[in-house]
Amino acid sequence: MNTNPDEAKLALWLEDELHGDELKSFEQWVLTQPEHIAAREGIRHWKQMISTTLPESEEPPYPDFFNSRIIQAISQPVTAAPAMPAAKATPFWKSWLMPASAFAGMVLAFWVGTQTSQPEVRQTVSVPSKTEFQPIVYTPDGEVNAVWTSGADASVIVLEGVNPIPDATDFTETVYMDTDHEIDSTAGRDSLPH
Amino acid sequence: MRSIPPLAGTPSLIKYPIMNLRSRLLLLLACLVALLPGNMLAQDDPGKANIGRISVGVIYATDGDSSQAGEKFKKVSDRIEKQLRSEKRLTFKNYRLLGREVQPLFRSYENWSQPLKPSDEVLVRFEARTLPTAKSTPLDVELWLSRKKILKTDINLVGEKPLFVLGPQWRGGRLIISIALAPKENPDS
Repeated sequence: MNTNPDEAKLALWLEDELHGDELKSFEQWVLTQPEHIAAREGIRHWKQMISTTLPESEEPPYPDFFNSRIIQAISQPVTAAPAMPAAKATPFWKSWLMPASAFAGMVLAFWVGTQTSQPEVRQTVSVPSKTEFQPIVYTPDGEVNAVWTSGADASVIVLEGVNPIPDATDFTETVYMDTDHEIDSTAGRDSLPH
Repeated sequence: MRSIPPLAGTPSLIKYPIMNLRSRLLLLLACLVALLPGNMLAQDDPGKANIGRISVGVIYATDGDSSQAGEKFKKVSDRIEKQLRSEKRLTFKNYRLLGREVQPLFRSYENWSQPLKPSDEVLVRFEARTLPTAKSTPLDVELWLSRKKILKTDINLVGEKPLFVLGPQWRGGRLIISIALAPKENPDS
């Protein structure tokens, strides 16, 4: 069981704010504590000293002037902020002359840059002509020989050793297919030899 | 044997034609989707982008009678004849065009040309090696004769300069396979 009085009651007793039965019951314990008694005497002495040096109450200075200033401030209408001085109207010719002159300046600077660039160095070194493409010619059949040559008008591969097509083979049923049309060769592979 | 009477609450037969109509519409829609051309469905395939056009032709060249090939075949154009005669090994008295086909060059897929269609005696498989430039079109090319791979090569087609392959003998002459870039304006030339 906590036998010590709580701090709140002690604070009230020190300030002489504890009354009645609580005061009686509390003093049964606190009067046996000399440090608390000394503390209360110190506080009482301090209060007495303050009361002798300071008046009990003091009115604020010039209360009428204070209130009148507040009333005046409230009753005074809020005036709008002074308008900014109107900007001077830009002349019509200035609205397009400045961008146009800036653009002309950019064009002029670009032109001057092109004229003052490094002088063109004419290439005097002859570039070797690109070697003509040499295809790889492969004949899976060992008895067939292929020779590639290239002329001005056409490239030629001459096949030798190819079995002749029988004369009985007739191409008169050949259908000319001059119009291009897409044939999905991937899908139509089954009909082609491999 | 007793027939089972219809249960109470069974949907009446009057509703069936409506259901049939709906199901028919769904079936028709499914058929339309299934019949969409492959090129429409493959438009998003970047590998099938057309990056050029290749013309493959077969020319009958002979020093004899050119009618041996058949009466229907016409002479080659003057430009092609001049190109042929500029090469000594390709110089013959007569030239006849047996067949020609122009095929697109896909970005990543191979393509087959069958210039003597319906005959598959001469087939040319070609595939882009790199993206064509303004100067040249690099190709991987294979020549198949009588359903047999005869030649494999890599070429650079440039402008109107074709590749001529002097091929097999036939009816007293030789077959010349031409591979060239197809002109944009007039692919028949």
